[in-house]
Amino acid sequence: MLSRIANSLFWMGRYLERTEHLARYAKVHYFSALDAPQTQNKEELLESILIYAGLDKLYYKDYDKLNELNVLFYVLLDVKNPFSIVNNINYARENARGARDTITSELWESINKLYHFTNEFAYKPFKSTHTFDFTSPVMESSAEIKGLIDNTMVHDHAWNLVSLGLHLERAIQIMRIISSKLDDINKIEGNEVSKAIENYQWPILLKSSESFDMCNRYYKATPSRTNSLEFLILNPQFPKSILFNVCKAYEHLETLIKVTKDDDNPFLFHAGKLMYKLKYTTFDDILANDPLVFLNGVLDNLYKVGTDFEKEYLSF
Amino acid sequence: MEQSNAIKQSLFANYEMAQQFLDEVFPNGNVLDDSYQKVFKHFDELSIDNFKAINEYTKMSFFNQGITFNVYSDKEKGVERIFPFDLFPRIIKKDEWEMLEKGIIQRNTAINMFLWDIYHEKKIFKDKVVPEALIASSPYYYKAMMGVNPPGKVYTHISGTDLIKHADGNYYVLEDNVRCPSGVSYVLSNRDALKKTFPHLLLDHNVASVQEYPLELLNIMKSCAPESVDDPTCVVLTPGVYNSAYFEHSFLALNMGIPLVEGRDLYVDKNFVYMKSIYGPKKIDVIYRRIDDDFIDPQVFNPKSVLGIPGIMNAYREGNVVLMNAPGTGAADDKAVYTFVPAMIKYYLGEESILRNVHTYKCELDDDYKYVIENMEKLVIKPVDESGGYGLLVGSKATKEEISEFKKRITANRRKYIAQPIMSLTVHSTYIEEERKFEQRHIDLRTYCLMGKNKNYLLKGGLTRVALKKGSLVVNSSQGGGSKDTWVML
Repeated sequence: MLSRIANSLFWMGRYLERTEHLARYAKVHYFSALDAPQTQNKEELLESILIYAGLDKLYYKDYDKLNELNVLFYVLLDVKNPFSIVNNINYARENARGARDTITSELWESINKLYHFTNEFAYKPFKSTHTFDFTSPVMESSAEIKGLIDNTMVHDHAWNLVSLGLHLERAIQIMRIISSKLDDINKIEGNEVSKAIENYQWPILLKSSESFDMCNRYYKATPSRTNSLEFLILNPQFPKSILFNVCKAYEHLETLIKVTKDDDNPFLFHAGKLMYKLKYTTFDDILANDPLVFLNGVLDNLYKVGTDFEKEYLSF
Repeated sequence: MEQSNAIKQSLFANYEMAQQFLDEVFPNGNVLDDSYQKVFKHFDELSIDNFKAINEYTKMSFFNQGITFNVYSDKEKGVERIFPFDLFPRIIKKDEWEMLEKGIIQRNTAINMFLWDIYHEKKIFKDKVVPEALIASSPYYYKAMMGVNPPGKVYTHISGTDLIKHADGNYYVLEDNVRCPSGVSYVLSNRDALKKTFPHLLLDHNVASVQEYPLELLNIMKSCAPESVDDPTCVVLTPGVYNSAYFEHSFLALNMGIPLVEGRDLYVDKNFVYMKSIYGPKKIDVIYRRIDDDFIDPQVFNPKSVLGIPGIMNAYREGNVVLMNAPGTGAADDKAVYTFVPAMIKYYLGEESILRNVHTYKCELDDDYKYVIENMEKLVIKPVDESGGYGLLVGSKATKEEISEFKKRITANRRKYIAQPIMSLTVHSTYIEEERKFEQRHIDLRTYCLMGKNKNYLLKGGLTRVALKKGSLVVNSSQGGGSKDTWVML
C-alpha cells in the first residue's frame, strides 16, 4: 500500500465522518430552535452550531450578527468556508479520487454522487427549507457510503485505514458534541426555570449523535445528565459511544501495525494506554471532577494519535 | 426513402443525406446497409421523448461514475464535462475487420522493428530506405536510448493507429500514435453504457467483446518484465488527479488490479525503482507510464519536471525496470516518418503494406513539387516537423493570398513541406441534441494494438470519434468531438 494512497484513505474516512456529524448537528439544532421553550434563547442554538463546527470566530469575519439563514448557509454550503459541509465533501471526494484504484467502483460512485449533489446545491439561493432538503440526503448518503465501505471492500489494509479514519473521527466528533453541549448548559444559570432548559438539552444532545432511541431503550428512562453522558462516553456496545470508537480505532491500528511484527511499537503503546484508560474509568470517576476537563484530556490524546500515526506511517 | 411517410415523427425524420459523403449507415445511393437493419429499426421506432430520456440518463450515468474530464476556465474550480457519447453504434463488418487487424499488426510490427534498428545497427539508414537526416532531426530520437535492449525487443507495447474511411470505401491510416495513445477507457465505458440502455440490441447481434483489454494489457506488462523477475510488480504511472486523462489512468489500474502511482511515490536507489509503501520501500519492475518522455526523468530530459522520477532512465538502461512504451518511440510517429512506413514494412517484413497510407507528395521531389504547386486548392499542405495541426494549409478553404504565400514558403524550403489530398471522412448517423434528431457527422477510428514478448493483441473494436460540429472534420475531444460504441462483428 502506497503511503500516499494510505493517507488518502485515512482522510477520506475522517472527512466522511465529519460531514455526517456536522449535517446531523446542524439539522437537529435548527429544528430544536424552531419550537424551543420560551425561555430558551433561540440564538444560542444557532450559536451552538457554530461553536460545535469550530466556526464561532470565523463566522463573524463575514457576518456581523447571528442570522438563521446566514449561519446555516455558512456551515452547510458556503464554498468559501473551508470547514463547511460542502468542502468536507469535496475533500472526501478528492481523497477518494486519489485512491480510486484501491476502492470499489460502487463506493466511488456513491461518493461522487454525493459530491455532485452537494455542489449543485451550493449554487442555489439558500432558503430555510434547504436545511432539511440538504442535510437529510447527506445523512442517507453517508449511511450508504459506510455500508459500501464495509460490504464491498476486502477487509485488508485499505479497509482498515478507512475504518480507522472513521472511528477516530467519530470519537473526536462525539467528544466535541458533548463538549459544546456541556458548554451550552454551563451558560444557563442555576434556578428552577433553567433546570427545565437543561433537561431540554439532553434529548438534543442524544439526537445530535443519533443516540436518542437507543439511550431511552437502554435505561428505560427519559434522558438526563447522568444517563445520556454515561451512554455516550462509556457504553461498550453502542457504535456512537466514545469508548466503542476508541476500541475500534485501536483494533484497526493494531491490525495495520502488527504486520510489521514490531511488538514494542511505541506508537501502538500510546494508543493502547488511551484505550485502557477509558475502559477502566467509571462514570463516577468522570463525574467526580469536571467532565469537561476529562473529555478535553481524551480529545487532546485522540488528536495526538491521529497526527502521530500520519507522521509515522502516512507521510510520503 | 420509401418509408418516409411512416417515419415522419421519428428520430430519422428529414435525415439529410449529402451526396458528396459516404454514409456508413446508408451507403450505395442512400440505401440502408444490411448490417444496420436491426439497429436502424430499433432507433427508428423509439419516440423522440423516450430517446431523449434515455440519452439524459446515459449522460447522468457517465457523470456519476466520474467518466469525465476537467475543463479549466476562469472559475476557481474546473468544470467537469463528460466526453459526449452517441448511442447509435458504429458497425465494422467481419471481413473488413480481418483486413484491418492484419494490417494494423503488420504496420506496428514494422514500426517496432524500425525502432530497434535505429537504436542499434541503423541498417535501414545504411541501405538508404529511410534518410538518416530525417530521423536525426527528430526531437524524440534520443542518445540515451542507443543500444538499450528492452525485453522482447518491444518498444511500442501500446499503439493507437488512427484510421479513416474515405469516400472511395477504403480505410486509410491517418496517424501512427506510438507514444502514449489514450482513450481506451472510453471504449470499455461506451460498451457498458450501451449494454445498460439497450441490452437486447447487443443480444441480437454477434458483437466482439472488448472487456478483456485490461487483462491483455496486464499480460503484456508481465511478459515484458526484466528477465530475472518471476512475479513482477507492475504499476500505472499518472501525472496525478488533475490530469485530464486521470479517469483513464485510474480505470486501467483498477481493472488490472495494480497500483496507480505518481512520480512522488517512486524513487530510484542503486538503479532500482521503489515505491514508498506504509511498510517501507517496495521494488517495481514494470511501469505503464502515462507521462510523456519529456517529464519522466529530470536528470535526462526536462530538468524542470516535477512529475518524473530522477534517475529512472539509468534504472531503465540497466534493465532493472521496464517502461511502457519505451522512451524515444516518438522518433517513429511524426508526419514525415509516416510516409516511409510502407517502405519499412517491405524492408523488414518483405511484405506489401496491407493498409493504405494517405498519398503524400514530398515537395523535395521535382514531380511532386510541380503537382503540388499546380493543385494547391485540392491539397492539405503540412510542414513535416510540426504537430497538432499547426502551420498547415487546407487548400479548399484558403484565400488566393494565402495560397500564393504558401507557394513562396514551399519554394523557399521544399524539404520542409509535404502535401496530401483532402480526405473525405465517412459520415455516420449521430443524434444532435439541439435538433432532437439524427444527422450526418464525420467519424474516424482509433485502434488499440498491444505488443509483448512473442505476442500481439488488437482490441476488437476501438474508439469511433465523431466531429459533432456540423461539417467539421475535427474529431478531437478538446475541440467538440464525441464518440460511439464500435461493434466489430463476429
